[in-house]
Amino acid sequence: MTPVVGAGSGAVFVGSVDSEGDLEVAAAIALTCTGFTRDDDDECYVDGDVPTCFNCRARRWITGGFTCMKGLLRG
Amino acid sequence: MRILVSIDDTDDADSKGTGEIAEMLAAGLAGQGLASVGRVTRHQLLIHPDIAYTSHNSSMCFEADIAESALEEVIAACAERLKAESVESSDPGLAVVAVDRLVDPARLVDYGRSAKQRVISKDEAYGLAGELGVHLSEHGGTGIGVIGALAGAGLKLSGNDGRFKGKFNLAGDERGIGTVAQIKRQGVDSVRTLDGHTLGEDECVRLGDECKLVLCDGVAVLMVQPSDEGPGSPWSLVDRRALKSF
Repeated sequence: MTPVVGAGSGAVFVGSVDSEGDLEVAAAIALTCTGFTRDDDDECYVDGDVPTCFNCRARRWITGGFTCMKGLLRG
Repeated sequence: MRILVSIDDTDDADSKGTGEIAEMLAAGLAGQGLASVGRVTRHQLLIHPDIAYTSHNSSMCFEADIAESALEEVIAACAERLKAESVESSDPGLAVVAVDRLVDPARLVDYGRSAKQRVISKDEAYGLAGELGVHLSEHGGTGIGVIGALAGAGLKLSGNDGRFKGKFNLAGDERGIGTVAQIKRQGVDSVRTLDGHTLGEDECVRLGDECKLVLCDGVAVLMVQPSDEGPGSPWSLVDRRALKSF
């Protein structure tokens, strides 16, 4: 099941970088996202250059996950 | 004289990051001949809906060695640069700690640890800074960056929090393997496992293209894990995700 809850600017990714399943979903979203920009390396938690929401400059961490500051999260 | 310079809330989603500004401050002090500076560390603070952070809620801190007489000049130089480099919509805060003049270092460390666990007010930050003799100032917006700036200094002072800014490319032999002794000649103070085991000088580590260092016991530590290649194989670098807790 997708960890994305809600829609539009209110969408939230409920998940963790420690979950392989959540990593797969975040990578799939980022792969086709027009707004993906890799954050400063010091803020990235996933190794490598493959796009993932977990490393995106537009994600804002919240308790238990993150939101997309560009409102681009899609489940 | 040993000081800690810590900043927070300097950026927005599209600007240069707080870590980059911390490096600029450090380079500026060194360039003016005011300080010999150490590396910048990043300190994660509490993620909570009542905290108005940009995206990560982390603060950045570096250590510097300055002349006793230069403290006010250093503070002024940092404040000026911080104000110039922070974006207009941000709420930057600056903390400068003269470590040897601290009234009660343990209270600053406790405050830093608290900032990872509970919401703290600006009044509390200013109150503690005043009691401990720490410089704390705000340089735009709401100035709430003072809360995290003071926390970053406390966490750095603890010696057991944070990751060093930047990636480190450690050289090994032609197979990409280096001994701990070789690694320690490249700016790493210690090589350890996540459960606290310190590797001996002759032990070998398979080095990747890049690695991150964390602050443990006041030194820069490279974290490794047993290799899945079997007994006798070189240690492996830990996955970046394993460093999330630092």
